[in-house]
Amino acid sequence: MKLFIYELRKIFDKKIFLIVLVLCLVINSLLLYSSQNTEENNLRLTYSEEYGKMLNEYLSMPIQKARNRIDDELLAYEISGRLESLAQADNEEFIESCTSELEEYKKSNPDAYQKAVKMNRNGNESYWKNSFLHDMSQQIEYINSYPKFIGKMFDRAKAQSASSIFGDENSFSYKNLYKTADDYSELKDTELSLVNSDSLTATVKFGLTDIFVIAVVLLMCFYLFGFEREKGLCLLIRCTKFGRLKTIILKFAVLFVLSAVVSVLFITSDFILNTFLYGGMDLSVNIQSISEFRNCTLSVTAGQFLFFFVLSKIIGILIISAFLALVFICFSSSAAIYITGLGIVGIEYLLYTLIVQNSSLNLLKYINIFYIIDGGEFFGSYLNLDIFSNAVTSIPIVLSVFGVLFVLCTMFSCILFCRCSLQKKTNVFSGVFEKFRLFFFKISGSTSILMAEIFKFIIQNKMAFVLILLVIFSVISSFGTVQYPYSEISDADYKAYMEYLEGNITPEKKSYIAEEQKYFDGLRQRLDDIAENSEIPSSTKQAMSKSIENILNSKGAAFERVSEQYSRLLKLKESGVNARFIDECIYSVFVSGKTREWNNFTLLCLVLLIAVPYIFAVEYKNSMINLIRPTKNGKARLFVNKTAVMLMFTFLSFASVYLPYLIRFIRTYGTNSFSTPIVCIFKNLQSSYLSVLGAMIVNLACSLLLALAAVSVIAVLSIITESNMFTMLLSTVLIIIPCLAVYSAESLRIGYCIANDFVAVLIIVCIFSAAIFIIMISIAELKFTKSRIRRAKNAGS
Amino acid sequence: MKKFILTISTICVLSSAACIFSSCSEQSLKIDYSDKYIENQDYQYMYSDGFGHSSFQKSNDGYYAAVNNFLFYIDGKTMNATPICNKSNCLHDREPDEVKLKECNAYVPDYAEYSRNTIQLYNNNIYFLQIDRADSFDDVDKYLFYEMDIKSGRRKLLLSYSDGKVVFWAVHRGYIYFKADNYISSYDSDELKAHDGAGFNKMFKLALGESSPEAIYDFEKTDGIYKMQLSNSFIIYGNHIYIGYSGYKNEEVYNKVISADEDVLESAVSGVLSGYVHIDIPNSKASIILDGSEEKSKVFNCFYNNKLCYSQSNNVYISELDGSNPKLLAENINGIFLHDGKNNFTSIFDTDNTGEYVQTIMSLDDKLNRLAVYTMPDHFFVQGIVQLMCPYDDKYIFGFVENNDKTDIVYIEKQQLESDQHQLKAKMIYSCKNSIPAFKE
Repeated sequence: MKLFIYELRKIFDKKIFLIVLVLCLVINSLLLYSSQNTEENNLRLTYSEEYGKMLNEYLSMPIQKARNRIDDELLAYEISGRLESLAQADNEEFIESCTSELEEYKKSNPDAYQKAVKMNRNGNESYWKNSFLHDMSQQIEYINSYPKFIGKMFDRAKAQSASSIFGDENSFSYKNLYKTADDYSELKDTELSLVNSDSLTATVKFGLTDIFVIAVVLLMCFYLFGFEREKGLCLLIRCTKFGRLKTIILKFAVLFVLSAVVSVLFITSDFILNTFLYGGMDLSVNIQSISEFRNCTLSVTAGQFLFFFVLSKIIGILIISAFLALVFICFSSSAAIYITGLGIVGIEYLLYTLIVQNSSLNLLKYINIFYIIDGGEFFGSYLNLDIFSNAVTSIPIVLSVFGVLFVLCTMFSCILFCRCSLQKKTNVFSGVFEKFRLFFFKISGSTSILMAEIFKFIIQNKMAFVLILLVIFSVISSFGTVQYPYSEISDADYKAYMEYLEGNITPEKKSYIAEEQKYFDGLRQRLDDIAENSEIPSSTKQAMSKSIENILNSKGAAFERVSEQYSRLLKLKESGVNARFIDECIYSVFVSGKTREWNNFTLLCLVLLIAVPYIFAVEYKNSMINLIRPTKNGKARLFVNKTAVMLMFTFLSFASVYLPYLIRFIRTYGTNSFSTPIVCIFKNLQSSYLSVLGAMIVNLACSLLLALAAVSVIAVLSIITESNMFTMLLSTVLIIIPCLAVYSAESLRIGYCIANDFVAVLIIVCIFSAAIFIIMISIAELKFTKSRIRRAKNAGS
Repeated sequence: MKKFILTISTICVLSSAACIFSSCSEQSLKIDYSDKYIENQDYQYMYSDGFGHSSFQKSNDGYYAAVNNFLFYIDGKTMNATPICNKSNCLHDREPDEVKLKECNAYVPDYAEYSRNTIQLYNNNIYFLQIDRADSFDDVDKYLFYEMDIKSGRRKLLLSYSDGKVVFWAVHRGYIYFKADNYISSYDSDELKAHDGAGFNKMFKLALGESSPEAIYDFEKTDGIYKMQLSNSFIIYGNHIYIGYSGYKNEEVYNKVISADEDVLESAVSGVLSGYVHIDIPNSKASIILDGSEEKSKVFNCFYNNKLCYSQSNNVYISELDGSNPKLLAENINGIFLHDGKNNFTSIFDTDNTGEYVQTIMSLDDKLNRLAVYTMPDHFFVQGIVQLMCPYDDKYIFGFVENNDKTDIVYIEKQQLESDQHQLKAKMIYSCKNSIPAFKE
């Protein structure tokens, strides 16, 4: 027990762990809130209390009565809408038809009509009520259809199996049809009721929580398995009575207990937040009352389902924690652990999300750890897997496969932990690499601190290799990024027009546009002439008309776009803008390429979080920090040089990521339009001081500032944590996960802000990034140069 | 120890891979390369509308039909239709939830986004083409060729094609043939600008089981026709591919047509050309057949006793499959001449007094003399005129009847064409709900 508590303290004594845990919880909650606080959910969130009250009102009456009442109310809203349209209408035909329709309503539904009149007199009661009534009406429709859905299951199986393609009794399809019907038969007496289920469904659907939980588990693995190894303390454990076996068992016990606790903690926080947003849910109703869980075959209440949901998350996280523990024990290098551990988990995640359920590779989707972690799907839907033409329920088979994997991972981890020395080892190529390095790169004699730092970072820590890989990757991935974004039939001709017109509006261009206008007017006339000509055979007429229509549909449509742009430019010119013709297709993507911007920034952050920890943490890792004696300037000079290396690497990485696209763009389209104001590109933009070049510079500057802010955070983390691996983990939580979260939010891009003239947002981003950079570098300097802290720490440890 | 772990891990990985992929192995089909229609291995041209669309396919004991993005099997004996989905907890086309609806095994979204889908049956697999539309300017459209196992409903992605736009396609004798171009518009090759100067307009073939298509003909290299426009008329038979075109004799004629000068219009009429590009599959050689001026254009009708059958004005001709050796078959035939392997018909489209389209069928005897005239049921439409008389299906004419929120799959028994009842009657097989609003032609 004592050992268990000691192992537990290894984690809880680290303030940083608790800070990270709280930080993850806060970020997770913020992301959950932002994912729910959408325009679509606006009414639901604003009037959640009213929704609850309405639901309670209808819950207290029999379902049929509730349905009739809702239908009446909806009809009243519809009539009220008509009355309002009639009051605003000025079209006689519409007024006539609307009046007769209302008369009809008055006769057939006098109560609903009176109610609508009353509603109109009192002002439009509330739009939200109408929306909620629709929602409840759909719920009632689902509740009424459910008995039929279950009751007809055997009939459907019978009808399907009657067809010759599913008729073979030995086939998976036949077995699946009847097994499904059998498994659902127990649900025939399930009672459904109206329920406010949004808090539960939002909790079940929010998948980002799993990533945070995995990140925290990774951190725990580091403290339990990586920390002692990094400090060289593993050798001390061997000489105890039971060797290392007792230690590893208790380490696993701590890991599993804490993983389960963390999973429960995160899900509970999600559910509480969602309950706060959407209102409380009656957990005693059957889970099938929620239409999303129609296919669930478990005869459980919503509360019990929530328990199963938590259980599946815990099982999934335990398996992942066992796997990550094995990775930590097998590998000694931080980068290898990071890449192997997160790489394999990432591949599993991609397989689960990218493979569709009826793919021939669907076993890879369902015999997948993320299928278990996705508790809503695992317990909430029904699935049989085709195992040698047998229909096997997915839950037991997936649990057994991963149960075996879990035991194997734990067992191998224990064996390796007990038998291997767990010292930092060199691999078979180390000798060769060392000889090669010494032959080409070595420092002889005295050298400057800066050169020494560069040598350590670039050569010793092999970051030159990372940089070369980054350059190669960026150059290769830039192929095909500068393509004309063809999307409409007229794009090719529009491009051709713009190649000629691009630039200032000159008299020649004006007369060219007038000539083209005349040509297309003539062509339209020609089309009429062909249609009216009675001497030409109809098939020939058709071929001729087709040729002309093709021109009008492609070149003609392109000219209409040019013409529209021309009139807009003339208006801009009148307002004093240096209006110039510009290809909107090319430059709108150039100024605001949403996917490109996200890809570039995330790639840059990923490279920085792998490389930057090696600058500061390396001295702590190999204990060389104790040898750096305070000079006249203390450690400040060393810090400045290390910061210089860090900035150099950041700039080089930044250039490697961003330059290939820019070079390709300039080589393809030139720089003629760089001075054109961006108001000429974006129709919705009323004013902007930026030119295309200016917009690109602002974009790059903002990205660079954000990258510098990220780098400074990584640097501080590496100094505080004194560990590469730990820094990588924390940086992933703080930088990469938020990047993943904003992937689909296309408005959260610098290009988007530029294209919509959100100057204030851009300024805030710049100031915020610069402030973070300055504050973080100051903290880093303070921490790094204060050698006493280090001594105190050493003494303590 | 590490070796032991490595061995165990390798065994685990290999055995699980074997389990996963064991069900994917296919039996290859022995191909007969005879120059005639071979059942079970050839493109079912008789169910095609002549433009590469085919909503019906015939198998040994039934038919496959695709409508509103759902795939059905029609039992040949009972003529009952079943969605090709092996889940009894699935409501198929009647599913109100869009997410669950897309999880149905019978759901096959069509590339052309028509309400009537295009499918192909080959070696017990259904093939279909889906489009993955670009969702941003940085992305491009991807054409996804899928193979679907009819019994399990599992599908396999054969090819993701993003180099251009796929216009029509067919599975025939172990290959997928498709025409693609990377012009923005496929209609007027001169007015189109190739993407970054690398434009093409080619016929490709992809061997089933391989991943890279091979170009077999470049339409840009066709001599003698100015501004060739492919009409999308497309059919494969035996060792031949036929693709319709129209074009101009030379640049001068074309300029006359598109100029605003009315006087020159009539003089250009004789310079408007039409015909078919014929590709000989074994040699990958192309030739122009059935060519002539549009004024007296030759229109492909059907295959007649393993010959190519076409009409010019009101006369019907037959020729060898490569277009050589033409002979007059009959004169003054009213309507589109059709032959279903046994009987001869003509199909006539007309409008009645109210302006509604009326389709009638005239049956002809062996010497192509009129026997009787039958009127098709109201609102009945077929995939195309060729499909109307399935030569290898002497029982049914398949079609659709569209209602507000559903499309009915219907059929006419061909026996009715021998009766005295001149108004044909259709029977409904399945009423497919329009769960997803699809683009209608």
